[in-house]
Amino acid sequence: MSGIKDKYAIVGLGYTAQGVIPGKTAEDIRVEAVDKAIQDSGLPRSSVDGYIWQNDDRAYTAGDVPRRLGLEPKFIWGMQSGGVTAISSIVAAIGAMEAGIADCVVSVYASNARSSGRLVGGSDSNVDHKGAFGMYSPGAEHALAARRHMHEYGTTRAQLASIAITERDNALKRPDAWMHDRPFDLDTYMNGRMIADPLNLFDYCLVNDGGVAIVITSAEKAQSLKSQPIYIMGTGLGHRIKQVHNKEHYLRLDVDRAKDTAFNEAGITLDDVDVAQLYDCFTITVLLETEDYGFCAKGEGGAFWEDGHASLSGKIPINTSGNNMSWGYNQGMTPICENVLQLRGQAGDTQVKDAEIALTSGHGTTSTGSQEEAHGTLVLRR
Amino acid sequence: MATESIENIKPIPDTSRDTPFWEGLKSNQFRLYKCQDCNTFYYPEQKCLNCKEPNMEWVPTSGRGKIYTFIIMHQLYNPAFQKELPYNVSIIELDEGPMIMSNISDSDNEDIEIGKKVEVVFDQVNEDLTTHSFKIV
Repeated sequence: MSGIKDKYAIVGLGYTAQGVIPGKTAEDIRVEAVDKAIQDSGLPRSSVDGYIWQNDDRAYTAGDVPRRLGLEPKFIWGMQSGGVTAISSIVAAIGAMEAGIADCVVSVYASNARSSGRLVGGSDSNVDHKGAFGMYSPGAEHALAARRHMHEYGTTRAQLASIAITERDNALKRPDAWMHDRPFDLDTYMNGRMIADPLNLFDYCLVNDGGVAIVITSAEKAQSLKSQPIYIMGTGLGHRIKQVHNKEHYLRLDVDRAKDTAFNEAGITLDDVDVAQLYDCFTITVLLETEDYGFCAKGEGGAFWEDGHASLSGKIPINTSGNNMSWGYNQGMTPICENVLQLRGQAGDTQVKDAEIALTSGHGTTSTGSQEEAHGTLVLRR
Repeated sequence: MATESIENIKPIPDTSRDTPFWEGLKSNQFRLYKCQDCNTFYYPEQKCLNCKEPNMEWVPTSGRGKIYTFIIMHQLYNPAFQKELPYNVSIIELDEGPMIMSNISDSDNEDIEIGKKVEVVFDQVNEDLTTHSFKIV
């Protein structure tokens, strides 16, 4: 059975301003991101024959976005499992292309959560087995894991802070980051508004308006385009779902299955990775991913970040734009966007020199389980 | 009884799932779903992970365990919880093995610690619903 290594490439990247975009619907922002991605690819609109979006509750009007752009895709798929969705959409796009259904697939995430004033993560239901106990939001679920990690390994709040601060420091060097002009230090962090103790405001990702879209096509077709192709070396997915609450859930993500599939396909080991974007819904998520991918031993994620090993000048630069916590929250599209920029040499003052192979992770949920269990791994190269 | 708008009523658990568990609470029984083949307990209901054609049923258990982890919620998501902020949400590791999300009742937030032993409290809401919390023992 032949694999997919290097057979497909990201040939278009489009992203909008990140932050507050008044007067635009989520759909407007989606249209803009897709438009930019297609233009960036150099492909004519008529070539785009597949469309995938990370859907919200407007699934049945999804066709409005391609229609507004003058596209006529053969399929319109809505996918939604949180931060893993972007990687899942690439897997789905590859499947459609392998099956000869489409040649060029667009995938997009966009939102106007900030301007529409949505409080992300709440529940409107009056029948809710978690709401009955006052549990609301993914952040609070991750906070359960954070406290346990502190208990088992002595991880400190200062160590969690170092993740947020490192990402903020990166964003300060990026004019395109929403938080490019808002530095903060450990003092600010410690005085941050507590949300779900032990996680506070600075442990949480942003809530903003913005969108990111990519165009994927075959490596063969990519050769004739003006943009620099970013090749997909491998993909993998995992899902820790066997129980609602389980000790494993709190201390390990299902990275193993996703990483093994992706790395085996790509033919790489961790040492080959030059830059990594680890999905950062919350600081604790990044810490767990750092451990579970093997950048350090289990329990040592806090020290790894606190000692600067994940900074731009460290052993392995991680979350180089400030990502979902400081650049702009576009779920799993944000880390993919940054790796495409890095591999194209377009990351400005946060450029990792000679970045050749990039690791992207995605982390999300598909059930009413204890915390987000779905995981995805994507290996890209220039 | 004071009139309350729907916004100020706490969500109720979905008792259409794990119905025998919720029925058990009404008679002060704390039931878990047990695989009779390998004696592994589960909550909520699911097929045994160890056995091929498991023989499973709900059985009464001790209702005892210890605090595995918890949060103190400071953010208001549902107005019904306004008066309780900041409140704990805890994961209890039951003596029989499974873990369950609940609240520690009758303790100050400062007294909640990982590892403390707890015991179930049956909280009657009305004729049709009894829910649970845990107290430190």
